[in-house]
Amino acid sequence: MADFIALAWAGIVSGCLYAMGAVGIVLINKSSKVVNFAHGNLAGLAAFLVFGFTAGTFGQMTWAAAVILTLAIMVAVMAVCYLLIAPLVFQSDLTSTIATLGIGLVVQGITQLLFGSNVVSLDLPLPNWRATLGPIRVASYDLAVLGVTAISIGLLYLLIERTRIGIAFRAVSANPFASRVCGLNLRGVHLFSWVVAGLLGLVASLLIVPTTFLSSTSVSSFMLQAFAAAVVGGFNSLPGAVLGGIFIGILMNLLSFYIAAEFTNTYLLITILLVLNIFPQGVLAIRGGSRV
Amino acid sequence: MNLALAQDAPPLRVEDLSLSFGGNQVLHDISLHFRPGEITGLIGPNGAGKTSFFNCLTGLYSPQKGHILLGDARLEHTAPTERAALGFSRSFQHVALCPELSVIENVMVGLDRQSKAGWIDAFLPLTRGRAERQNNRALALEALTRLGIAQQAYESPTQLPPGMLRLAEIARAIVGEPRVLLLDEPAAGLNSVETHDLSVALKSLRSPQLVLVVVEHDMDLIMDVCDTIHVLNVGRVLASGDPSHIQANPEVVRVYLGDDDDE
Amino acid sequence: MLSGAAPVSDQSVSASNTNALAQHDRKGRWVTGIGGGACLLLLVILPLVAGGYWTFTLGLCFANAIVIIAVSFLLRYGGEVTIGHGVFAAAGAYTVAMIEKYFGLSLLASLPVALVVGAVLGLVFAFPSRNLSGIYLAVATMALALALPELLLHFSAATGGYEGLYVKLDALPGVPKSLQRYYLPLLGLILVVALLAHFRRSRQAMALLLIRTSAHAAESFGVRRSWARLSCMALSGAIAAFGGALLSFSSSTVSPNSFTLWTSIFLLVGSVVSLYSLSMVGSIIGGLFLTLMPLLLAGAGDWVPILYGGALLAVVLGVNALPPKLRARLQGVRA
Repeated sequence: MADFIALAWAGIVSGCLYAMGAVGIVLINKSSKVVNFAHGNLAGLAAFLVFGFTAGTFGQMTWAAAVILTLAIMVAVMAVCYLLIAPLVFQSDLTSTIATLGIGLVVQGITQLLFGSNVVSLDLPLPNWRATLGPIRVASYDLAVLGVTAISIGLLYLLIERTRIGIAFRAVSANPFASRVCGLNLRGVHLFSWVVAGLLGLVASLLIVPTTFLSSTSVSSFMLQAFAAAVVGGFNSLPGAVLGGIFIGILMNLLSFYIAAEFTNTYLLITILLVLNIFPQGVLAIRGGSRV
Repeated sequence: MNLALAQDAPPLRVEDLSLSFGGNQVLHDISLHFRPGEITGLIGPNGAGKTSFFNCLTGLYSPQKGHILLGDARLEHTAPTERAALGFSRSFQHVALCPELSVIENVMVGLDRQSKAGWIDAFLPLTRGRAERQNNRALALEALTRLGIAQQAYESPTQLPPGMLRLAEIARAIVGEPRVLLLDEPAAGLNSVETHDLSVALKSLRSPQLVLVVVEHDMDLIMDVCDTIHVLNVGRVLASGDPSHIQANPEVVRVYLGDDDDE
Repeated sequence: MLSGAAPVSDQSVSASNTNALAQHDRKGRWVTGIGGGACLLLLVILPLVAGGYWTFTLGLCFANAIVIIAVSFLLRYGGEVTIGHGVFAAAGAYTVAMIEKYFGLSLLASLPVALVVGAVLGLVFAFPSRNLSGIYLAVATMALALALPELLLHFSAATGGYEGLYVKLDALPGVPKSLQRYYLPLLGLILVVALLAHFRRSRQAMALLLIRTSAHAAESFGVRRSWARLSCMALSGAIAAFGGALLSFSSSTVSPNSFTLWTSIFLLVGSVVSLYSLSMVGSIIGGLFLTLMPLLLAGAGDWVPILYGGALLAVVLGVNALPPKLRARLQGVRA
């Protein structure tokens, strides 16, 4: 039981990160019906940029400066990515989804060109603190993940519920045609979702790095977790994506401990197939909507 | 094939049909009887619920209450594909042809349900599959000829004006000799010559094996071809009867035909 | 106005029109026939002229072209994007290698088995998302592509682990190996293209194409969406496995390294570059692009993804920027 609780706790922590990835994917899918397969590559590039600004490739800045600079760069990168596929979005969601794979390849190549294919170490500026609460061991990292996720998701919630662009986003995701007729700027909403998704990706990738290492492919290898989380949540629901992420985090932790650790992707595959069969609309689905 | 049964087709009946979306009731307790051998018109001002009613008949919407019966078979919970197997066929208000198929190929899809060629025929040039394909092609060409667009059979739908596309869609709907044929605004977008061809074609379809229902805004066409007309208004049946009867009904003239005269 | 006479005159006009069309068609067919024949002849005599290196590379290119056709098939007929087709190719490749390992049988015996394995795998993966939108299938295939290496490494006793397996047996005894590795994939490609060209005229193909553009219309003519999804995926899986089987034969080895997620993504790139073509020419262009680029860029590995991604974006955006009529013709929309 103690094992179980400890595993579940660790699962929640990593699940938060999957959730942030999944929220980014769902945001883009909700606004523009595009599945962004470049999400992981973009997040990986973002983590490398922070590495580049703090560890000497481009400069020796403080963490705060590096993160702010990278945030600004990511806004530009995401905008460029969206503008690249913008001519396709209203033509065919299939073609634009294919185009995101092209973007992913290019971003991956650029990351490798700039930073090489080697593993580098990127340490988060966190105090070295840990505590034990019964079976749970809590490190400053865990608290940082939970805190940052809560703040990010909370900000996103406020953004979507309280601001003009958020209301436009909700309108567009509910009914793009009607929103267009009402004079909403669909392009603006799309751009908004791409930029927000990119920023969430940056935050998630920075927090993921300490659990693994940083190489040109390490961040994008978490893409599947994020996609699985999105599928569990129904691919079209932001709260679903958050819960899906945490569910996947816990489940993967339990499976790798109790069965075998080498099959992460296989577990994810089986989870995806099972969820699609049993809860085709996602676990949180509101029944009665039309099938897409 | 259906002729071989040499029996009159069963009528299509609708009993106490109600449909609502959320709190918005679109259809109230509609009961109608559609007889084979007749052409039945369904008219009403915009928002009367014609298309919703139609979509209930074809299975796109499932009504909350009431029955749809073909003969004695209850259909309200039958999926569109299964209704197709029972002999339902329809055309769409918004033309739904595949741009990658030529017009005649689009029409041939209407025969898919009755075709037997399997996967082996699909990949290998075997005589049985080829014979069926030729037969289907001939039937499709016949249906196109009936609607006066045989010349365009081998063109792509992307190259044709909307009127011809609509006729091609009707050809697809009639090619499989359906037992129930539902046409959703077949004359929308047609010019006067095409509308004339359409009305000739519709009259020639009248047969004791076929229940034919037409939703239409073109009053001249409806009055010309229909034997019975039902008028819907805000989700209820306002009047039913033959064309002269409907034209003389003061209530109908007020809510519907009257509007046209105001122009 | 001429209600009595009109149908008759219409018929005669249409008859003469179809005649003219058929004549035009026949002439066109002659031209393409001669051109195609000449190109085929060139491909057939090529190994007698070109060196062993080119024969080997082109053999791989033909096998890749078949797998690319599988991806294009799914896009064309199913309207679905897959980023896991490397897995179906791997299924075919490993089928060949394992049948050789355990039963000592050559490619000719294992090819039909590979086809069945690919089709069954396709069905298994399409089934859970048979009623859902295509993105779920894409995600499932992506998971499959990532899970495959894990499974191959775990069952290393059967699959040979990292090292993989060798395919050594001749399919046609007495013929030099280098020629077999060239001609069999070429023959396979011709076969696949010919079968698919015939398939295009079948009722199944027409139903699939209609349901892709208009699900409601197809359903009201008795075509089920789940049927469409399952048959597309089974066919595509079978073609991919067929190509994978020939790929293992031509390269004489299979290993997890040749079937990663990248392989699957590159296959999609090849399909896009060939404009989702199901023809000889298109698929060979895609196959060449996929086979030759890494060789040409051997010294600059990091540029490969940039180039592939750039090519994909350029083609997709370029085709989109064309006027609609030209685009329709490029994508094979014709009567």
